Amino acid sequence: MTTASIETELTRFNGNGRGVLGQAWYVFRRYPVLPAIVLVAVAFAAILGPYLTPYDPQFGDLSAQVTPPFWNEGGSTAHLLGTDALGRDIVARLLYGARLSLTIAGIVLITGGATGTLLGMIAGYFSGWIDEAIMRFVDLTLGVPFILVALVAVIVFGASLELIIVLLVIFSWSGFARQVRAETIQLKAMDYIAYANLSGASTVRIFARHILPGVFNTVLVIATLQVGSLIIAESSLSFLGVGIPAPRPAWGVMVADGRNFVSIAYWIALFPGLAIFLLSYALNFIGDWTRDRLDPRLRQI
Amino acid sequence: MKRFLAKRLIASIVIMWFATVLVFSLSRAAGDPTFLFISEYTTDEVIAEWRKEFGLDRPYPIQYLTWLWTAMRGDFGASLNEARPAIDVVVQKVPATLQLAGVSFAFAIAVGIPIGALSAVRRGSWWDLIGRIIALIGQATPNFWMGIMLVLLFSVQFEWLPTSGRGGFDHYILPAITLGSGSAAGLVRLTRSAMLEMLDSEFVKFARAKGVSGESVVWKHAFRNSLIVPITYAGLILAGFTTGTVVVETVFGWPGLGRLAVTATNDNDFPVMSATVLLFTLMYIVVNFVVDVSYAIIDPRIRRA
Repeated sequence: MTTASIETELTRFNGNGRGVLGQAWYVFRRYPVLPAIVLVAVAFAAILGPYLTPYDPQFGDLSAQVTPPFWNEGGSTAHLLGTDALGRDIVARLLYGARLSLTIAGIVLITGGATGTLLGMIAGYFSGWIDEAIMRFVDLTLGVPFILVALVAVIVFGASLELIIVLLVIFSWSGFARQVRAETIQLKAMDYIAYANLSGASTVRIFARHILPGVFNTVLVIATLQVGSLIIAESSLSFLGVGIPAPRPAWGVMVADGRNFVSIAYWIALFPGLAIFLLSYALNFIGDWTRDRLDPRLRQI
Repeated sequence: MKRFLAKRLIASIVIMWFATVLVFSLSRAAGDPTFLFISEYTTDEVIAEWRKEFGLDRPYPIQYLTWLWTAMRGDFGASLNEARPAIDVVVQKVPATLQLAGVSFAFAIAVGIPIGALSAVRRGSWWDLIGRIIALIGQATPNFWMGIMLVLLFSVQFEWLPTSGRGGFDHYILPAITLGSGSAAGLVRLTRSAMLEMLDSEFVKFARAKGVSGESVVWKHAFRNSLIVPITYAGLILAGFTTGTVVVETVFGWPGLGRLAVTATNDNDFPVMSATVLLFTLMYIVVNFVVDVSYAIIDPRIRRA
């Protein structure tokens, strides 16, 4: 290859010398533009929801039951995506539902991620029986079918927002623990940890200053990879009627509400499901992208 | 191999034991079972008598052991909803679930592996595009919504397929697609990347250099060797089905274990629910055990690890 052709290859690789459209296409291919737009839109809806719609998500207008979306016959721009069987505005419920979904996902990821990371670091660093105990516990939580445990727990405690968060945390922490443990074992063998030990650093300090920064990328990658399936798990439980209790506008509950009307009013079930799909697609895509960027070794998971 | 088998067997038994402890603790956390039978005329003495009769006055470990002993013989008490033993109610639903899971599994394999392989061999072709679309839809779409949308399209709009229930082959199509879609997507992705890696490997290049024809290199050398990845995924697929059947059977009114679990939850039918959970866990463990062992037979490296 001549120097000139290498240079053209390089400019092409960097996306220069392509004109505006070429540049745009390049950015589009290289960065998750579409997923980012979806994610920003959902976050926007979650934060500003109440200011974006005049309607209440839980109390409907009984004179406007089952209004179709504006492009269908009988629809109006007052209810852009129509209303459900109780006359509640679908757009309003979608906006408030975004807040619910993202809040739950956030709480679960932070709690589950912190628990899993801490236990993973402890297991990896101390090895021996502590390691065995923690890892066997991970095996146990992964060896029992999650959804059935969730159903039994709902019989016992009744469905509530708190219960679903606890269940999802139990469902999510083990993934963090496994991977962080593996990373910690590798880090532990590094010289700088041995030097820190020698110079008298306490265990807490070694964990906080030397191991945590080393596993942080992994934790971030697992969090982004997990969040899509968390959203789906939450909405599945809500759909089954054992997740977020009814009047709250959870997307899974909205699909369940629309299920019996699907032959006469497709929009009640269609739009919330589409919202779940778009959000989980965006999160999966960004998760894959983050992983390839930060830590391609994690490809197997 | 014997050591490996023994280790796996012990691990399986421990998980099963954990499940029984979990179910028992939850059943006691639900509160004193005698409250179900109390009316306003029940005196304290009668309650005490009941508690003695049911063994509820004894310490929890003893209660657990007696419960475990009866449960191991298949006695979970009477269903609160139907006046017959809970275990009968549960066992009766097993065939429907196994049939649906079998058809979905076949669907996932039949779609996922060929499309995954073709999209790797013909990169950038229509096959590749189809593979990407399946991977995208299968992984990001919630099962319950996909089921409802398929019903809307194929049952309500076109009236080609039945909306729900169990029956002839046409009853299987929509539930099996819904349940199998996620696994098909996973298989497409895995087979594709395994196949790409194989096609780039030294021994495939060597076979090419030796003069083996293109088709033969692809299918006999690369494809066969890349199959090991999807085989390991089979265990995960079946694990995913435990969650999937609960949702899919509810959407399609399929009379199996998954739907039973949801109705039993809504009716607070604890005996049926504990039998279902333990049966599901048992199936889950058996499947994982079989997958692990067969994988160890295929790939000797696993046994020694």
